[in-house]
Amino acid sequence: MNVRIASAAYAVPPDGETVEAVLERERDRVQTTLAPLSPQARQKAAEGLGLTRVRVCGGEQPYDLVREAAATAIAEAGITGSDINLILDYSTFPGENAQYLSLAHKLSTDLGAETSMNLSFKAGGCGALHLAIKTALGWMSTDETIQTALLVTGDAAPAGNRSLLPITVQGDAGSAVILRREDMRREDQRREATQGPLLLGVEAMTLGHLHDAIALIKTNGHLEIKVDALRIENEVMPIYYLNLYRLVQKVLEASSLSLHDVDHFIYSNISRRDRDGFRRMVGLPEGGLPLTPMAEYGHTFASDLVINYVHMRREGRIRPGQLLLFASAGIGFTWGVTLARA
Amino acid sequence: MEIKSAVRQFIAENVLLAVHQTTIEDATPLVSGGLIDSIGMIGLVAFLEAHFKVEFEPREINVHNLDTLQQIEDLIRKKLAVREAGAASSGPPTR
Repeated sequence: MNVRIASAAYAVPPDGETVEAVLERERDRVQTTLAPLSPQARQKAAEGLGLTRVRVCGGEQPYDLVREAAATAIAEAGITGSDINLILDYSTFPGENAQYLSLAHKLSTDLGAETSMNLSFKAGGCGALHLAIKTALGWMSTDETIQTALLVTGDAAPAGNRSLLPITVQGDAGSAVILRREDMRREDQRREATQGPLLLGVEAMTLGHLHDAIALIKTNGHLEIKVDALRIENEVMPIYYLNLYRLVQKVLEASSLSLHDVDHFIYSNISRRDRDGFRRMVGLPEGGLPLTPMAEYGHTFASDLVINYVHMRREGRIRPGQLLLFASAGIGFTWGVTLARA
Repeated sequence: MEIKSAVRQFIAENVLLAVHQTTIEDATPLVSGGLIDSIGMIGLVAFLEAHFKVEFEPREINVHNLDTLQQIEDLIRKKLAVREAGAASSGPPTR
């Protein structure tokens, strides 16, 4: 079964806020979170973020961003809503006031995908795109009526929880990815199948004992993201790149490829220092990772990879035949890597 | 098996470049002291697994188990003991 990334799109709200203003407004929360760390680690926490501004949902809800991104992705794939057989919503923070149990169900109605299978899961944070791709591939491989899948995530930081220091600062965004199965029996689809990267492999892993390193809790009826800075430093960071590296090796070896074969690494926008760590992990020289709009958008959870992929395509950096490696890790804790050939 | 000296030599030659191995004490905090970072852990764990022919579970790799040479030796010895016990119990039955 060959499945391609037929299209991808994202949407961000027009309103923005500076990271400096966020950290000033959430100063008490930041100080409480960082208090268990050494003075050196506390100082390092706010350095090297590489984030200047974040986009902020005002009147919009994450669902509005998802719908906009989905409509764009559908148009770019040259299909209509009725062609979609599976909608998978993997949002982590779909909005405190989200009216819908699952964005997928509402989306199927609004897009005219009335016969689609609609699913939703909340796992993985920034690593959730890989889980969504793997889940979609599972459905496609066991149900041949599923030819086209729409994967969406829409995330907005809970009020007062935009800072996730010592890790990042969160911006709001929605994104959509369309996967299409190649059907070699149809000539028209054979032509279409030449468009979009071919998925070669997806690997993911989770570690449940780290579930509360970044915990989602309700305080006085409001969702709060609680970062355990000491556990992040002592238990997550020693294995953060190690697990990512092992998954990278696993997905490459499964296709008889190596790091040297990868043309483009597409990685999260958590922070400049995190991207630098990933760059060192894969053995790229300084400046070896492509520039991303992270300074303007902040870290947008699982939409980061879609945003960076879309930007690389817009800039014409991805050429046919090139090997793309998507990698990210997130709450759960979850690590994921996806390999595709453009 | 001299575990600490092998690990000390590896760290001095591959992770803490230009640091003489005699300056790495048994109780020197390697991870929490900032001497080995997250990227350095990739090489250290690969070395430990290959050199001592052991495998680490992901949850074993943390600052509580691998921060000092002494902790590393303790963990390696524990894993070797488990492996040897497993090999002994799966040996040929005695009459």
